[in-house]
Amino acid sequence: MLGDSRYTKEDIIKITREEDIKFIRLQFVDILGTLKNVAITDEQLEKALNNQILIDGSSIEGFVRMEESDMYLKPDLDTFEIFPWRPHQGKVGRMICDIYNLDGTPFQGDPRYVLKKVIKEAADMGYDFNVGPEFEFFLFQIDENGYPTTTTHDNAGYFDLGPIDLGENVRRDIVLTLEEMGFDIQTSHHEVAPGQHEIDFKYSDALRSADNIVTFKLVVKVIARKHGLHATFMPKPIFGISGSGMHCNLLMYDEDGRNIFYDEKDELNLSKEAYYFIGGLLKHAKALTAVTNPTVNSYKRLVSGFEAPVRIGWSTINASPLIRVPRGRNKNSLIELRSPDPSCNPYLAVAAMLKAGLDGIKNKIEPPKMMEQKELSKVLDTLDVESTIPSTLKEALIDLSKDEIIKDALGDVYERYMKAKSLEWDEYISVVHSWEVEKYISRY
Amino acid sequence: MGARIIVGSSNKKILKQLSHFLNENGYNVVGETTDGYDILRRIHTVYPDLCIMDFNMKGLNGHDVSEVLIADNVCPIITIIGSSELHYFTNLKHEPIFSLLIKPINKDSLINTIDLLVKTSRSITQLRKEVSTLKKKQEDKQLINQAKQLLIEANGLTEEEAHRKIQKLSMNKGISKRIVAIEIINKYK
Repeated sequence: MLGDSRYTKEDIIKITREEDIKFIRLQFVDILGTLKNVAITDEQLEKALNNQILIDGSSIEGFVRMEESDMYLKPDLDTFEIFPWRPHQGKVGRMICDIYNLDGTPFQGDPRYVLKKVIKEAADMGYDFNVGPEFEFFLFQIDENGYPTTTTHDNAGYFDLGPIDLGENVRRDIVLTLEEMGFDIQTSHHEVAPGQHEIDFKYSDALRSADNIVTFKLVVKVIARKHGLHATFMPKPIFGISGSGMHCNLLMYDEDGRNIFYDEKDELNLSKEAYYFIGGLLKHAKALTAVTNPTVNSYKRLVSGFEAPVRIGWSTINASPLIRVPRGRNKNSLIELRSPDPSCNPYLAVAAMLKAGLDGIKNKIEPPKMMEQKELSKVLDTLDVESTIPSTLKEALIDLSKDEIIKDALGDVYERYMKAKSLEWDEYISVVHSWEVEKYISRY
Repeated sequence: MGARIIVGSSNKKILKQLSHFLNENGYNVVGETTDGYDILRRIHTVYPDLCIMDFNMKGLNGHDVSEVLIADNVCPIITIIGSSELHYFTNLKHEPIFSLLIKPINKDSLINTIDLLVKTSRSITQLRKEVSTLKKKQEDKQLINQAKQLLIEANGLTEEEAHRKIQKLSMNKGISKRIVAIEIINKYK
């Protein structure tokens, strides 16, 4: 699927005719990471392929409407796919699009463009950044009014293999569908919490992996719904059980396909670049969190006790470090960033991760000493903000506002992002939650 | 053993009557529900031989559930409707594993329809499997031939040498000849 240059305009027109595709969804993602699309019929396909389909630019903003202006959708031909589910009105194809201004320049507020810019920065240094995400998500029942609940169907635990487990069947169907669409699925299993599942796919280059993440979330939701379940990527839907993270395995290749992070002479098989990359990620960890963990709920997951990272540091131990370097990978040295959750905008998150790492390499930022087990399991002090990632969305936004490198990575998106997130925070902070009522109403 | 059936209707009385009738006539009712989403969950857990639904169900109605089941070829379906609901189903009427019965239901018709659908869908599933296997075999053959041709042209091998080379690679690496063929094609393209 996603990798080599696949199609020309003529190929797509031909396939659309041969496969009798009636609708094509021109997809793009707004700054909050929500997938949007413009549906066209096969008759408008040529117009779309000539980059002539217009959209209203404010649909990219998320909640924040700035100027209303027309923009062009420019489909990325390599992302052309036919959805493998068959509606009775005809087959549906899709292409992920870049957003362009009317004057033909790329729209600077397009998250996909933000990522492309950072990718170019890396390419100019001779680097090809690859990401392999590990997805966790919950499957919940849909009630008779069509709304998702937080009731899970099964009560299974880790690596459970019940013969008539609905969750198992759904996950299997998800994996089969993804493989049909060309995804390279590495593993899939039931996760720790009831109703929670994990699917990991193989790494691919930064742009493709972000596209894959967007596609993946759509496929999971569609298939879950067909089974009467709702799939959610919300980071922490239920108090007291594990949340859903999106650990990212990061690799860096040079133009010859050699793994830049690998050095056989090092004790951990890591090269200088790998250490600097880690240094960069740790230096910008706080600001990075505002992008990789973008919702109020994200911070309910980032608490101790559930294998989610809290302390800024790195380790080879499989406990709960922010950055983990797996041992024994042969030539496949990689860096695992464990903080991101699946509510993030994948283009912005990958761009921010890459930018932080590149800053580390450019400025030869040495990482601190590796964390030991006892450090990782030390009890957290509320006042200890220096060595931990932000504990609320507001803290994260403040940290982001102080980090010129990550701000630079976001470019024009930064202002709109801050505005949208501030609105979200203000909304959250003004609501009185049932926890507060229960706790305080009698006592005071 | 009787066919395993799941029943759905928002009317609990009808649900009971139908289940009772089916059990009496030798079928095995493996699930009853009033909710369209719940029926999807149950069907994807126990994979019944047949599903009988009222058009009226909570959550999703009989038409929407039918669309999902037909698209994924999950199980044959009988949907019970009033004559005023017929027009909802124009796009599904010609699906082979789908049948509409208009109220009032004749008991004999119901039994005949059940038996016919179960038989036919089993046969269709069987045929689909065969077609799929044959298609794959043909695809594999084409790929292997393509790879053989490339080897013959590039390395001056004979047909037999090319065939043996692919076989050997497949055995030594423990991968199918199809994958070997794909690798060879990619290499020479």
